[in-house]
Amino acid sequence: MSRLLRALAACALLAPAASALAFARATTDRTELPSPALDLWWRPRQIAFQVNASDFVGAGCAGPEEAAAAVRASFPAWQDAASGGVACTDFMFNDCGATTRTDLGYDQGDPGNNVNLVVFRRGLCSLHADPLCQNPPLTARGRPDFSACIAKYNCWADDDRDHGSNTIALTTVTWLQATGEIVDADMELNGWNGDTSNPAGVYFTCTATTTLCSAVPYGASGCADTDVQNAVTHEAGHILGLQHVCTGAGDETGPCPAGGSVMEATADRGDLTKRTLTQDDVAAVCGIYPAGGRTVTGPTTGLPGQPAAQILVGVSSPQSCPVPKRDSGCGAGGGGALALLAVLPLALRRRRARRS
Amino acid sequence: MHTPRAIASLLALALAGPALGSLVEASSVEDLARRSDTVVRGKVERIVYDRSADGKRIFTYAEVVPSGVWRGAAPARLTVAVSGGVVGGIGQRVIGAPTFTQGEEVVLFLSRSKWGDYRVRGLGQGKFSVVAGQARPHLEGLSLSRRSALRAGERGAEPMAVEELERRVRAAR
Repeated sequence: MSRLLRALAACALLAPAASALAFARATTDRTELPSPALDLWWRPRQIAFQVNASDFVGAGCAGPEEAAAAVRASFPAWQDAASGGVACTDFMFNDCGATTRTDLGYDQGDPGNNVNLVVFRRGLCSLHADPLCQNPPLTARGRPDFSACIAKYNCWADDDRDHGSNTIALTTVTWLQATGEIVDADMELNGWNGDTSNPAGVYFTCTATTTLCSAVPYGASGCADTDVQNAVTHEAGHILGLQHVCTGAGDETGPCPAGGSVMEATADRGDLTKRTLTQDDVAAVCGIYPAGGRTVTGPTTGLPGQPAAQILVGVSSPQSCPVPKRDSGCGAGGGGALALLAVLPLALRRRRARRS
Repeated sequence: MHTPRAIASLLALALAGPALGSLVEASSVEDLARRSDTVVRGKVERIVYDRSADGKRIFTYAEVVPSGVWRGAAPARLTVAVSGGVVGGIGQRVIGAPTFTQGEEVVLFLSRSKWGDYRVRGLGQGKFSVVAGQARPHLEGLSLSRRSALRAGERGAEPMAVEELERRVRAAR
């Protein structure tokens, strides 16, 4: 399949029904310059990620390995987006293997040490008596910093600013304010603490079944509660720079796609529908990151069909796997170079397959 | 010792389905009020940013001067802490968390932390912007459960006249 053909397929997907599309793009902070806000976008077409499922507990998935596998199974939905049987994006999530890292955010001083992380937290930080969690160190402005508590216990920082105990997953996206280029994205999953008498966290499951777990699901298996793949596929849309459908700029509402979307802002227990992209989702990823074409970005209102003053960015080299600093080279999961070696044949196979 | 928290957690999970990137339940205005230490209407006077010790995370502190206290008590000036912000040309956001603009008129559903600052209840559900008498919650990036049934007569966090919002907050029991 030639680049040109794939680019045409992406265009064909978007051109006839631009007004019917409902996907919305996330933007830079509207409270700061530049104004208007800029769309968020990735420069590399291949971004690297690592998974830390080492603290996953619960029979909803058959151990940390299956939970991590469910995370990994979520990303291909986006990178395999196709229109009329033709791949219409070349955006890829490169698996850099397992890690024991727990840190979020972006290290501006050491970009090579950053990782796009998917991490299962276990239990609430507030339940740890450790002073690091009860009286954490303070930031320069005298406010609590739970980073050390999180690093020690890989817990859900429920006393932190936005980590309510009844939140399932949070995605933190970091970008360059001047351009909207995303430089890091991390996903936290608020996992069950493994305690049936004093449960905290969310009961994640991996089974594709319509049988719901009981209302108090802890310890149940073979049933669906909060499906990992469903949740991560949705969050991966945020990582790509997508906003929820049916929302618009700021507090406004926007159009909803007739065929539904992975990026809908609602989800029921046992929901599996978000494992699979809809036409609107395909239009989103292929419209922004068209196969063989340039990344579409620029000032926007956040609504489709209003891509004023677009900047078209050429494809750049793939994002590298992080250089391991906190993991030992041969540690759990074998992060870093070993993981890269393991992944390389897969990535090469995939590229070959796309070219055929 | 942790039993009330555990029971609350169980109830939240039993009564409401999951949502992504946000609270499990879609809260009513009245429920947000019941779970808040204070609900204020006020103006965002100043915004300052901060970083975590490792420099990787960004935090925003919005200083708000209340013009009305609809529930609980509040000082003459309070600091609301949220994740995300812009420092040194780097922007960061926790999807679903509210953002603030200097000069913005807001209604906030808040809990007081033991460090003296305030947290917004229910991520963006707990922050309404007030423009021309209309109050709009900050729902951008929020996922809300469709299973949650609101109590009879209650309204979800949705756009409404600011007078109605105040009436509902004050009447919440």
